[in-house]
Amino acid sequence: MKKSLSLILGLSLCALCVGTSFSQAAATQTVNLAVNSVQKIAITGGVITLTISNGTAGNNTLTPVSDATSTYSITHNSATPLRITANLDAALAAGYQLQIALAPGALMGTSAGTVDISNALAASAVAVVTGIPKGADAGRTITYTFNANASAGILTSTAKTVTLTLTN
Amino acid sequence: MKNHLHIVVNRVWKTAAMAVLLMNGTARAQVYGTGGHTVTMQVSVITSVRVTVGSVNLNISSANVVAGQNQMSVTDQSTSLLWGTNSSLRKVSVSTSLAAPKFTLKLLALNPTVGNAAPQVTLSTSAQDLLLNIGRSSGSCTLLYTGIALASQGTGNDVHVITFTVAAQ
Repeated sequence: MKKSLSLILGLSLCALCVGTSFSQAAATQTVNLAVNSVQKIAITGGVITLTISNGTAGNNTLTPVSDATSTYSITHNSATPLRITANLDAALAAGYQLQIALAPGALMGTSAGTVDISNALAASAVAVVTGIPKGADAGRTITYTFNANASAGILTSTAKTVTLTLTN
Repeated sequence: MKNHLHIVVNRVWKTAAMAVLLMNGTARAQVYGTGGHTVTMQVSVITSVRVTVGSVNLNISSANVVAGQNQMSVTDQSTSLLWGTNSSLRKVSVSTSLAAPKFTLKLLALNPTVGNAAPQVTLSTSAQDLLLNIGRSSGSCTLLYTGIALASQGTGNDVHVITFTVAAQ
């Protein structure tokens, strides 16, 4: 009698165990989420036209013109602060000067102020913003200033490509 | 006397023949016993769930990033969840093994063939509803993972073991 009761109890427990194991099924999947090194920079504004058409009598330096319609945006996640450099695809002729100034957001780097890039090529790009920490900065103003000397003469419309590079 | 004996013998034969006939008839109708089986049938609670691929890789790189935005994201919907259950009022819940992830991982059940998808969940170690109302059915859905990181968080890697569980709703 005791054996029979034990057997019945054992079978009942087994039945409960089986019922439980089938009533709550589970599956697993491994998901690897990796965040790699990211450096992105973009500019808005397209073609910028700078035309000098005024001067002051007696001054060789003609009245400069500026444009502040374009912007830059950056995103990076590097542990080391980065910088932005600027350069032209070809140098300007003597007597003409192109300057650039970038205005970063608060705590998003230090501006080098107005920088002459007239002779800055890829190999000699100049820093315009330094010490940019990881994060993002959007829609920051780029200001171009074009200077010319009267002694340099007339400059027919000349296109130059300005390259901004986010680098370490 | 001889004639009387003949009549007696004749009667005995007839009686015997009758008896044999009666016995035959009785033998054919005789029930010696009965037999039977009690057949008990049972369908147990059956629930199964599986994923089509055991591993998913989400990589955030420059290609996924818009300059000027701190938030970066990547999605994957290359895998599916399949399930079957013969119980009513069941749901699929989901959780991750990673207690303190550096980045955010979200999951949405896309286009379930049966049941209703719960709103997109941010995965944590606590089980959360992924699918509802899947009772007594077999079905599938696409698993849409979204990995989210901030550029200001830097680089890194999170490894999640995601557990899908079919449970009572």
